Amino acid sequence: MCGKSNPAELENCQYCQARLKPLANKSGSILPDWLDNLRTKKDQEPASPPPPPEPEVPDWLSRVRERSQEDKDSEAFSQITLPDWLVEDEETPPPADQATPEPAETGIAPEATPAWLSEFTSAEPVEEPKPVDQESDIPDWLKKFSEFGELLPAEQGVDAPPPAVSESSPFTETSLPSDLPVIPNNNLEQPPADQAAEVTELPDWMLGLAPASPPTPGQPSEAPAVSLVEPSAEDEPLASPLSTDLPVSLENNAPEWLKDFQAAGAGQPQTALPFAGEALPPAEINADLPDWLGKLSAPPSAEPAVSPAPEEPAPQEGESLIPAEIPGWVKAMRPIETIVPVPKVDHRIEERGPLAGLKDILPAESGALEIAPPPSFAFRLHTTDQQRGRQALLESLLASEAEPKPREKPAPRLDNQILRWVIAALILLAVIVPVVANVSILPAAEAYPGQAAQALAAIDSLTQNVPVLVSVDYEPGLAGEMEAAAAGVMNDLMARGARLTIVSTSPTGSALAVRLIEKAAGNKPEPFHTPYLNGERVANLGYLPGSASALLGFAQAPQAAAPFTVTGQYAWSLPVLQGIHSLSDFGLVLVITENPDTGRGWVEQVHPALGDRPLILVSSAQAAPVLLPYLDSGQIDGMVTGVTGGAVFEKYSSRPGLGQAYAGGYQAALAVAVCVILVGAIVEAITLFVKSSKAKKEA
Amino acid sequence: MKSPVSAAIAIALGLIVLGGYFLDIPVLQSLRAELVTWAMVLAAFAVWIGVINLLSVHWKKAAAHAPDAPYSIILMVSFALTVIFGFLDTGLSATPQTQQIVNSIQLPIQASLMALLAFTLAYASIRLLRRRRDPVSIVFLIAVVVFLILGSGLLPSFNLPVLNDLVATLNRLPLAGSRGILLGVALGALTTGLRIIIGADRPYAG
Repeated sequence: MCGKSNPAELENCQYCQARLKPLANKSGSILPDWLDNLRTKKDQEPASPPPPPEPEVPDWLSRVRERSQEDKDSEAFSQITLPDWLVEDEETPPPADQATPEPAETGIAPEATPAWLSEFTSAEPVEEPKPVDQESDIPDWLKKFSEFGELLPAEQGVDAPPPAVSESSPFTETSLPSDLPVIPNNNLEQPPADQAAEVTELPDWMLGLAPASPPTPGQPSEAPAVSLVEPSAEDEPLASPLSTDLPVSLENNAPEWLKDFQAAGAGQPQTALPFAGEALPPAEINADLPDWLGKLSAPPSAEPAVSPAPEEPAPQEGESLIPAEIPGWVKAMRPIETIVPVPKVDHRIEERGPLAGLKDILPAESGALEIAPPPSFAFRLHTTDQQRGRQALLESLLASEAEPKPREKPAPRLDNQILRWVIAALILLAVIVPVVANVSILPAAEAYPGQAAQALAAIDSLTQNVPVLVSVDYEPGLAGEMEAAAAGVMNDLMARGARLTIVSTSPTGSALAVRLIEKAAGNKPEPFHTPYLNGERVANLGYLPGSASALLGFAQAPQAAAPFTVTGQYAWSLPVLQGIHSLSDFGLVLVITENPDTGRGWVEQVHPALGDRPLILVSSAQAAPVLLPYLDSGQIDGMVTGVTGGAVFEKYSSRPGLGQAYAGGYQAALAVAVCVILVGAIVEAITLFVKSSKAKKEA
Repeated sequence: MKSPVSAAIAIALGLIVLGGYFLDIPVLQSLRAELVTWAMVLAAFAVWIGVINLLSVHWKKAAAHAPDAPYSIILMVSFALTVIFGFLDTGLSATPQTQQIVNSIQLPIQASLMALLAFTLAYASIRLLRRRRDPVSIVFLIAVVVFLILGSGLLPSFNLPVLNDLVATLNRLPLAGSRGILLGVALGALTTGLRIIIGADRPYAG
């Protein structure tokens, strides 16, 4: 039931208490012993038609015969219609090949008649049993055999036509032995028509034991109330279980053991008489006794019968019947659907695995092992209004803890805003006034004295019309300082008629180089500026990608690294680059950069390829400290640092330019910045001192 | 590419370039030159990849209607115009459009930001003592003042021997520090190159 594993020795599941082992007889089968014995007998016998076995007369049958023998003249017994195989025809001796059991004395003395049997000893004659030609006449006790019909193989004919019902009633007088006691049918209650119509499905072999008249095709078969097997239109009318004539379909589909049973019982009394010899409770007897048994009348005189059932005293008139003990085989015939679940016959054909193609095999996976999502149960906590209110309050408290507290922005202080405006105004004035008025506080002086002089000396060593390689590697943001620092140098080179070759490792370098030339020429360009302004003496090679790798590649093979100009012309055929095959062919290399790494790259990658050619750097004030070691080590032949350095260079070259124009404002802005910082520091120090004094006084 | 293969290629090429630098073997030198040229080409494509990535990021922002989507649209439009003008410059005659873009848009914007930086630093220096009152802040302020004075050229302009010597001495201080930095950078680059050559360091997703 629950699908869990249990030890083999348990009869009930230790988890759900379901029965593990179905009710079975000693042999482990759920069939009654008498039926199981028949099957076992059949299984043990070979397939070939075996010889008719010796009939085994059970004790109950022998006792019945004894009683019948004693009550041979009883009217009740004469009215019993027994099947042919059960009735010993005095005129027709049994076949010689069949062992005739010794008829037993079945006479029953009236005083020794069991209670259950004495009930039937009625003077009323029993009518001729009606042929059981319809399912409505099938008693309930026989209907309960329907589950056994499912045990039969399916090949044995679900679709078989209804068998032909034997003409002879199974319970005719001639079919029973004459010595059987006649049980009157007075106390037997015929099952009502509707109950009689409730035919439980019986196995085919039992359905074959039908009465004489076959069912007419037009007659609808009433559906049974309790049906162990789904009734079908082809259900055969219930026949007496004791009939030896099997219907055609049953003969075709019945197991061999049943056929043998039929053959064995044809000429001799059958051994499988379910009810004879055992006491039944009166109530069950009244409801479930077959017709043939109900018509049995009490023998007039009979010897005490040897019955395995305990003898019960005859009930006195007016007293209730003492319930008899139900034997086991009768209990086994109870509807077992309430005890043992009807096994579902799965006729599916296995499609996978090693058992593919076989039918009626157990599924590989039990239904209990099916993986399914656990059922969800609705869980609702019953709470009061007060509890819900408290819950909401707790949730709000927790939510407020998770939420960030809004930070109150401090109101902008007026003194800070004023201070900013004041500082901005001072710096702007310090820059604009000297530049506009062309006034300087002090004469321009470079931060590192002697650098500009070295650069000028290197340029002065050049001859006229010397090819000069100019690297413009600064960002547009620092163009103001770099142009002021390099304008003097460019102006001096242009004045010497140098052929300028522009290259850059920055994407904006080529455009800044054009701007630098324009700035160097100034507002009033000289005549020698004209070729540079129109590009005659300038070859702009554009952008070299790859930073240090580009510098190394350009140093190794400049023509391969930068073959074209920004205008798409082949650069190395231009007059500007005439005679230039390597960097050592240039007269001077000028690097203009604000980045110390770029300057370092030029010094480390390109300088080895220059040979003895001078290398001059024009750097910003922020990069100068990092590049000074190269100047100090002799790897750089000159260096111009910032606005002041450009101013000094222009001063030395006697060609005023942007350097000298911006130097005054640069110095003034720096002076203002220094003053503002000093004043601010002093004010803060005084404020701190005053506060601490007050705090001490208050303390 | 699997790790052993990429490591083998990196080591082999590093040895070739290093060998071509020190050894006077024409084959190695020619290979070295060729490999350096390949590096330049790869760097150029890396610039294009960066540009494409930038455009994709801003395209997604604009498509997702992010709060700053208008700025992304402006960036993409500006990029498109600059590229168009740049391609027009490849003719036999240069066009002034690219130069105007640099002169009128890029340079003024970047220069303004640098000027704002200068003003911000000056204001922050004033409020330094209000935020942090410790000896380090005082020393920093003093150093700033001194080198601002030195950089402006105010002291050397006096042309006083004492001042000149003082200035020269003070100028050696950053020189010494920068020299140490440069040596450290050089040694680090050397060590990194050796680690790559011997396969101990695999920054190329090996």
